[in-house]
Amino acid sequence: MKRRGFLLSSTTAVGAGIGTVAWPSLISRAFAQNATPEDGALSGLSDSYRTAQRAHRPLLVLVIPEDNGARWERGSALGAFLNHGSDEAMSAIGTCEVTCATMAVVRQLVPQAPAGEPLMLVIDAGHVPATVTTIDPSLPAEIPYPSGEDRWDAFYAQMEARVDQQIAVIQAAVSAAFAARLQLLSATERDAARQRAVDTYRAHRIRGSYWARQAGCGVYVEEVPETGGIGCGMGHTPERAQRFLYFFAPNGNPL
Amino acid sequence: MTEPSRTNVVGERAAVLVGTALALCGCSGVEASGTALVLLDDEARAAGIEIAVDGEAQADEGPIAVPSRGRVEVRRGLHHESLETTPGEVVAIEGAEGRVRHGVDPGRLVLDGDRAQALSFAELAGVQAVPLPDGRFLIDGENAMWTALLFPELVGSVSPWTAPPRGVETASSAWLAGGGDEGWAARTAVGLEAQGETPSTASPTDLAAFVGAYVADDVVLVLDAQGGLHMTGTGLDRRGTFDLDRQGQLLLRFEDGVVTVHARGDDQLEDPSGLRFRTMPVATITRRRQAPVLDAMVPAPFDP
Repeated sequence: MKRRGFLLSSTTAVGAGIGTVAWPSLISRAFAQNATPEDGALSGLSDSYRTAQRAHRPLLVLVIPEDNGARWERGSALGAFLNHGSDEAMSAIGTCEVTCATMAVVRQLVPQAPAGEPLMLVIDAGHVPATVTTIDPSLPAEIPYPSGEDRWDAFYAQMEARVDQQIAVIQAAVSAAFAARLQLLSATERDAARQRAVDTYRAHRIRGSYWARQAGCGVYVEEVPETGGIGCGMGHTPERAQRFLYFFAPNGNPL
Repeated sequence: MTEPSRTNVVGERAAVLVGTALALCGCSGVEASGTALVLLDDEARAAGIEIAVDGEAQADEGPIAVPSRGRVEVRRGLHHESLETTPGEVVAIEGAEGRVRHGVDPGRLVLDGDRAQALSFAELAGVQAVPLPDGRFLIDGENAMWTALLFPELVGSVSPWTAPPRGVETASSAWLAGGGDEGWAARTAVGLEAQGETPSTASPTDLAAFVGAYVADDVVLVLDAQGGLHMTGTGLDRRGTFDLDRQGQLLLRFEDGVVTVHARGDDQLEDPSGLRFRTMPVATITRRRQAPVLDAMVPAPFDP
């Protein structure tokens, strides 16, 4: 796999005294500290669904991929969006009940959910059968690793740009999906929704995931006591992707 | 102008009567006024066990209101035992030995009377009357016990409800066997003609409000967003559908039977035997990392 190959190349670079690139997946593979149990995932989704239904909000499911490597990639992209997305997109998020779940868990409660692993699902929980729509923009492709030492700076710049593209693509898709709903809101209501998104989903854990931070080496999972890692200081993570959605169960805690 | 339905008339009458009764006794919200209820079952009464308040024996057949701060005794012959209660609590005194059971469900009692008596009380109080195999009636509804206190002559002799012990066939075990309501009725109850007119105790009235994952012991019941249901457990894997009847009661439809359940509160489903499916509890963060970490490496809290 490409990521595994990159880990090897990074290790080689460390040995050569050169700064390395450290995506969370690589850290996870290196430390292998957390499993990915799905215990409690159905109860969490069920609770979110019921909350959405009672609050008359759409349920927005951020879909967790089954593949562990893809979990890091998607968690990073969604994290960057949620932390740095536009006000309009955050207003849209604030109108929803947001949760994270795998499609396997989603289909237990929402059998009509589509095939595949779209980025997000919007479920209207106000009716049975519930209507389900997807938000599934094409995200920018991964950037090939540099082959020579003199290309690292350019590679870092490309990574930063890619994160910006991810944010732009996702916020455009979210804004479009909720455009009609947002048009019904006054400016004050939009602002309140945006603030709710910030206070509820940016500042605190989104069910089915954890907020985590990784700036170079080691992962710190928020809201979970005593998580952290060895800070080697030699890695690199694009600044706007340093806080990301962690789709694993840290230290045996529930997802 | 349309003629008002019998249910509406009864409901209005009940509301007036209950409201009047509560006003007369000056105890609207009686359960929160420093009063508790004590209920002796038939065996306890037959054994001569009594409840005394401030030294005076109480002769009521139904629930006995006692001041939770007063001197209350359970008298077993010459042995007088002080009974401590909390406001709003229902306490049962059970069996010939007079076992004290605290925390009795105030929403349920067993009425030892005839069908007319049970139906009258059920209509009056806005609760359900479910016939039991022994000829008595299960009265089931919010604060049924407290309402019974207001109508001692109508209610007569009542006992606390005791759910069948595990292993005894219940409505739920009938579900699992595929019998549905009819199977349950054949085993534990007879039909009740007027049951269709008794108000439902269901809280949600929207089918969507029932969607979710529920659990009872090791059995998981998922009511999905498509109207399907899936019940799983040890050696159990059954599917079906669900919908609401005209009274807002939830119907669980299996291939070989239909089960009627109702909501209790916002997060529980209950069958007539009292077995409750509760919404699946959400796990919480409790576990800590075992390996040592470098505290200095933990970054400062995120400031968006």
